[in-house]
Amino acid sequence: MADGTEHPSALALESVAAGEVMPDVQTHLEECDACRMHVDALSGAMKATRPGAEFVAELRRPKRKRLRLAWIAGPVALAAGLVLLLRGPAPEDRLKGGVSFSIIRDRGGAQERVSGRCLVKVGDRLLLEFATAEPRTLEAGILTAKDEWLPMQPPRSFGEGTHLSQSSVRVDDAGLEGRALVGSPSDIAQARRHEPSAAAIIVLARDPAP
Amino acid sequence: MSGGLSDTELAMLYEKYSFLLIRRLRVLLRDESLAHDVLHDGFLKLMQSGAALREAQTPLRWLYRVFDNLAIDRLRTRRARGQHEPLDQVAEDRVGPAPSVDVEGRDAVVKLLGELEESDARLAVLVFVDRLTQEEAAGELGLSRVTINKRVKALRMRASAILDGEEMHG
Repeated sequence: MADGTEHPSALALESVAAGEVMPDVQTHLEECDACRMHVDALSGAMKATRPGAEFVAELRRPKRKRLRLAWIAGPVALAAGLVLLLRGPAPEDRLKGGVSFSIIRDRGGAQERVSGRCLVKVGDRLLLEFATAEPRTLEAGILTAKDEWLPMQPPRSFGEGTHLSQSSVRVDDAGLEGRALVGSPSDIAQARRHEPSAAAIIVLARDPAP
Repeated sequence: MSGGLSDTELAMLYEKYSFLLIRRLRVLLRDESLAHDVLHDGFLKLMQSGAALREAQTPLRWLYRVFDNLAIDRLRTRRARGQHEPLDQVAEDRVGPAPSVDVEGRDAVVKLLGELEESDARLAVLVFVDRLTQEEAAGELGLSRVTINKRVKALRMRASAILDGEEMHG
């Protein structure tokens, strides 16, 4: 047991969740709901990981070609380098009928709200802004032309209104082309498999301007 | 570490352990993008020289040691550059802490990691993050129980100072 508690160490519970055999801990789990629920939650979350082959393919790619995910949220946006300068609610028509969204594109401090098709170039930072007319669970990210998924908003329940993605993406010297997607987790899963999907889409294309 | 792991082994490791690893790195680094960077770098290290993992009796503990060292190195580098505060918030922990974890104490000690001596940083992780007993930590680090006890007390005092400071400013 961990010092000062009646429970096994966090490491022991994580080890059991990972399939390691620890008889003392197993015995404890039979009697302790809190620890058993913790191990079950860990085990469930571990199974939801994306395919390892996808990750290894990224590892094999030269580092400079990787896109860096820059996570930001609320009050730390300033520190993360992307200050949201655009104000005001999303246009009302975008709130009608399901989910709609735009991309906040930051280029050297100048920000623009873009929908439909978004031209990007090296150094741009992109943040997703999405609106829902009713409470729903949403996920968002970018599916690149190379079929790489860049998560920007893990599945989460959102209330009616306009929201910003949890993270932004900075475009590195490899450029970025593909589709930004917002939708229910099942819509996103279908879109990632290139199946017909109800996910809202913005196409990302290389900006030819110097 | 000598010799690397194959793509198949890496893919299996990723599927089995990446959730636990990224969750831990979020706690240690308190910075989402840095946590993902260290996860990536750790797997690169395994690709190049992780063959010893095949012989590990407790793979998770072995992996944690590798990734902890990388994380602590990053914290030290950040501190050496004068960047004391993380830039990004971390994603929410979907699972939450284990019942044995004192979250407030853990998070206060974690803020010290970048400035601790290597063995103290390792001790801090074992006792406050992993929640090993002092006896287990002594065995893990090859130190006497008395030494561990003294060092843990010192860590607690420094962590308390942080918590007191936060209360004054909060």
